[in-house]
Amino acid sequence: MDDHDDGQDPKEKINYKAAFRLLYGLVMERKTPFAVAAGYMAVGTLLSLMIPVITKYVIDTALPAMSPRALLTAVGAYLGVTLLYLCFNYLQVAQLARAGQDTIVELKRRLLRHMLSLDLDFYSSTPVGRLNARVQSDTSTLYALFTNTVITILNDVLMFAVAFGVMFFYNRHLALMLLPVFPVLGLMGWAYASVTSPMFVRVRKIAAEVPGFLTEQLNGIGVLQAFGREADASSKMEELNKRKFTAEMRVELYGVIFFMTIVALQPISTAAIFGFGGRLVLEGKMTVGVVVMFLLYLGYLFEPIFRLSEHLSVIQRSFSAGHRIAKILALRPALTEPEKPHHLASVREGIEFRNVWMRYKEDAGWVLKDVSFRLPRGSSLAILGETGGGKTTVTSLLFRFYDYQKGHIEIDGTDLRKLSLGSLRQAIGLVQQDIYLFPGTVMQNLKLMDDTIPDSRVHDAIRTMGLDHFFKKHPLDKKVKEKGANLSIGEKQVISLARAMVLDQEVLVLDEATSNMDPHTERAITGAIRTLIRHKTVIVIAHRLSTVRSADRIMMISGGEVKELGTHDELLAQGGLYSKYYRLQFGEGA
Amino acid sequence: MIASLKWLYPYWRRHAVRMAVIVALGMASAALQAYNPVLIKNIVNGLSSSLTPEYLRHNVLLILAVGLGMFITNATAMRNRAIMNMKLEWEIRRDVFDHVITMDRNFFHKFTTGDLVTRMADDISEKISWFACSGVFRFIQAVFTLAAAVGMMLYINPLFALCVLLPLPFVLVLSIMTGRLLSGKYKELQEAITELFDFLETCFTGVRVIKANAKEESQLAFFEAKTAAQREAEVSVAKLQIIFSYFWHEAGFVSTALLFAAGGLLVINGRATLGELIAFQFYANMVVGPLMDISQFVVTGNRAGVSIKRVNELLTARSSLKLGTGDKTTPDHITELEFRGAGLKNPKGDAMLVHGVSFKAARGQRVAVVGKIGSGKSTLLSLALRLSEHDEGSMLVNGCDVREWNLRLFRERVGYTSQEAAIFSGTLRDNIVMDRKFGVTDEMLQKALETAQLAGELHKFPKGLDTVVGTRGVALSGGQKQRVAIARALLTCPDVLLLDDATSAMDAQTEDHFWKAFRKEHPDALCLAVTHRARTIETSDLILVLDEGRLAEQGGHAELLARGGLYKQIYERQKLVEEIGPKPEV
Repeated sequence: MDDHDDGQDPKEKINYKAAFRLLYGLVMERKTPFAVAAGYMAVGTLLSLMIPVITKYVIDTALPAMSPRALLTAVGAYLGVTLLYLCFNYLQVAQLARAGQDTIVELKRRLLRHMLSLDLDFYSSTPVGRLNARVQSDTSTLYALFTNTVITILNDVLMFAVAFGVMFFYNRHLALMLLPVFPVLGLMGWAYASVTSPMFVRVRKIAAEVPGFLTEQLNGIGVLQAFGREADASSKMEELNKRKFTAEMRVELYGVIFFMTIVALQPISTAAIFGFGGRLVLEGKMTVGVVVMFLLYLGYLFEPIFRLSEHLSVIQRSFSAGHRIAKILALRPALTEPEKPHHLASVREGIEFRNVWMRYKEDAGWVLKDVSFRLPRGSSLAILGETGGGKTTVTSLLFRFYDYQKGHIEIDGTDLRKLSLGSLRQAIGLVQQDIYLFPGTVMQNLKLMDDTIPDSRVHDAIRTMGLDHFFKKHPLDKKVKEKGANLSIGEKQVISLARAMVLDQEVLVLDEATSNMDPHTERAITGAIRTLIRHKTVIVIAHRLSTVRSADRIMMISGGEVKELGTHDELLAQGGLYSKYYRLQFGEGA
Repeated sequence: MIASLKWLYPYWRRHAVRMAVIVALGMASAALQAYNPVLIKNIVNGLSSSLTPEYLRHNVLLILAVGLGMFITNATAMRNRAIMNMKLEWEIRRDVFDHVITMDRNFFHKFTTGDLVTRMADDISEKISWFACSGVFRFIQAVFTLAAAVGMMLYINPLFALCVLLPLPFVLVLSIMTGRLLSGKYKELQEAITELFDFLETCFTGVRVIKANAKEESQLAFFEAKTAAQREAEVSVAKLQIIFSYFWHEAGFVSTALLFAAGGLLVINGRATLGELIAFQFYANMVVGPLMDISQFVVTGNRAGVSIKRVNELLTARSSLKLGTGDKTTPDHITELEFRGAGLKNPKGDAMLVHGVSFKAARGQRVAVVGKIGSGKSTLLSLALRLSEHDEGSMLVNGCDVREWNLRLFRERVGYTSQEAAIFSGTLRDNIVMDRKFGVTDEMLQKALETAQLAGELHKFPKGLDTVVGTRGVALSGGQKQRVAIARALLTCPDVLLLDDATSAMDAQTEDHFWKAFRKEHPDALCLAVTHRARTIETSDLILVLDEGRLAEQGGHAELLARGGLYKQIYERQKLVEEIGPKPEV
């Protein structure tokens, strides 16, 4: 897929300085490998430039002398030089690939590490596709810059210098005549690139409209057919097709003219060389071999012109990519470790929320209003309420993903804000049932990809949860494909629950998901949750009857406020919101 | 490959003249290109044996002329090929689109929107379009060039020709072998990249879990391993790629060496001229390009072939609707709708989506259609609209089989909203009027807006009815979308109104106003509404209760309630849900 969502406001100015600093820094980190590659390139290019000279030797010396030995020596030299050139070229490519890849891999790791340190705010404001693009495709653009563009430009400069040097040596006049052609061509290439680059942008935009239009029309096809609008849809498609055609044709015209002109230069320059060079030969001022040599060198020098506009585009895109990457690397997380962090070894007494008020932004409404509850160690609390009512926010606060404005949150009497983030999050765990699985084995996913956890712990956890039978049917070494597409929803939920046991934290926040599944898996899940609740201190955002019934106490949150709090029997007797919900869910049988 | 070419042939035929021009230009270009080295041979030979300046000038001018000729033929051919590529893309997409939009609902069950869009956008523009003209005709030109070059070579000096051509078969075989290795490596690389992609997506969407459990380090460790894998694959691919390219770009050096050796010896022995030697250098270079084009043809041809099959699948699909058996053009209004044992098969299997549905609805009645998710409610409505042809039973409109009615005129009498309110890019006005220019007055538009409870909302939009909405415009709320869809359906005062869950995003009061206004403005309309609102259901004239595709119960509210069956369950549950207010997630 070529058209990535850059996610960049086209009017946003690119900070060339920052991008350049990033790119320069990356290259300098590995200057030796890159220098070695440049070395290989230089040797290879010089070797290849010797070939026209060998040709000249054959024409001017070996053949007129009628010396088979001289001829075969020349052929041998030619073969040797070419083979050496091929070797050095290969070495250069391999070296560049390694150096380039090392640089890029390093950058990717740096980028991911930095991104993982940022707040959840960053993730909620950026779509996942865009984040992916930063780590994968933007870095690939830079890779092309390092391994292809830069070295090719160096190569071309060297080639020009040496080729013209040799040509000058043999015949100043002819060389001088040919010299001005190249800057003119360079200017043409630059002009072509700058004129057509906005046109290409426009073409890409129209091309992107096509899938958008099709999606919209096909999604609403029932309505279109119901109102008999097929003819109109057809003419709209026709109009879009036409616009695409026209825009592409316009750009293509420039392309044809530019490239064909350059191609035409070959016969023109051949004619020029033979014309002037030929006359000089007739006047005895030059030999045929030199004329042919000039011809061959000129052939070499046309390729860089073709590549020029491509180079310009790669450079442009690299700066954009570099700018975007530099921007991310410059971000800093808002929620950081407290100055003298208190290390939380274990939760001995419990967690307490006292009159907590929270809102996401200064001018936004309160998301939590005067929320208070206690969670003693070893007990469990089920939280119920409508979407957006505050359930998730309560748990986010517990992990210090966001900060609260008023009130107190304390663990064992210590203010949450004084605890070190690392120890806090190692003591409290989060289980979400609606997740993707990582590419790897089921075993790895059970460890949340932490290889330092021994396999024995996983087996113990499975046994404690009573899931032996389940995992016999779904073996631990089964490979997860496509984020878990080869596993059912139920299976994924069981895995995320088992994971909680493996990760072995004392306090657990469980974010349940709703879905229908077969009774077998449902039973496995119900049992697993019950075990977790029995063994740990649990806050569960509940959706299942069984979960709610297993919890010690229930809290109903609506509109950011705690509406009801108590045991199941207490709340049922109250006859309020909870009792209505309970009756609704579980009908007459309850 | 042959199948692909056969498929493309009708498109070429439409532009026979242009295609013929392209072929002719190809031949001319090949001829000119093959003649060029002859001129060089003349000059070089002349120079080595003192020619006259006129002879020199003559040949130099010829080179210029040939160059100009090649410029014109190549540029024109290239331009025309590009035009044809784009034109064919246009025509193919038009043909497919025009066909697809007439398909029935079964078709759209079989193919998801995403799949259809990929086939109609990417498959056509990325895989088929270039091959359709350039791919094939550059191949043809390459064959001409190759033939011309080989022909000239054999004519001028068969021995030299042998030198040039001898290494070719070996080069070809070796490059094919390397090519296969390369494809294998590409696949590995692609898999490594996909794994990384999946990993990152999982990591980012699950970042909350990762941070909450303090597992950032283990994520990074895993990432390190995976990026290392990609790195290895990329380096192997780069290495193989350069070797592969050697076969095309550099293999000529064997020919050149042979030429110098054998040819040089011949020149020394006076059996060949220097000019020939130099000219054949150029012929050696000339042969490589066409060979590349030929192999490109095979590769892109295979890819295009896959896409052509996918696109053809759409073109050869048939709608189940049998049109035009009858042509009851009717000035009559639709007064009665009857289903007799109607059923529709699931296009993806053998189960029935709806089965044995029988009921009768008359003008002026409001019928509520209720049931669980997947019970067949939307299917019922789409049958009423003939979006799909029923597989069993019959449907009668005003006592006559629905198949005897002219489809277009029938649909003009019916207003419809889909389950997900469809909003199109354009102004609000466009979305409601939908290009139904004839017979639509401003008055009708105003009335529709008022009935749909949209009139009061217009001030919220910066340009009122002329506000642009849709993907590139203002985002509408769920409730606003539904009201636009209702206004759209009511605009032409239809005889039948089919509403698929059209009021779910409205609050109870707005919905109440809507039904009252509806009854006032359209007293004779027959309305089938899929709904969950307790109040809407209980005030309906007829209630249809669907369960797994069958009509479980039908009747009025009181009688169904008294029966104490499925309806009672559904109704009471719904009342509870509404009582609780902003519902707890259920």
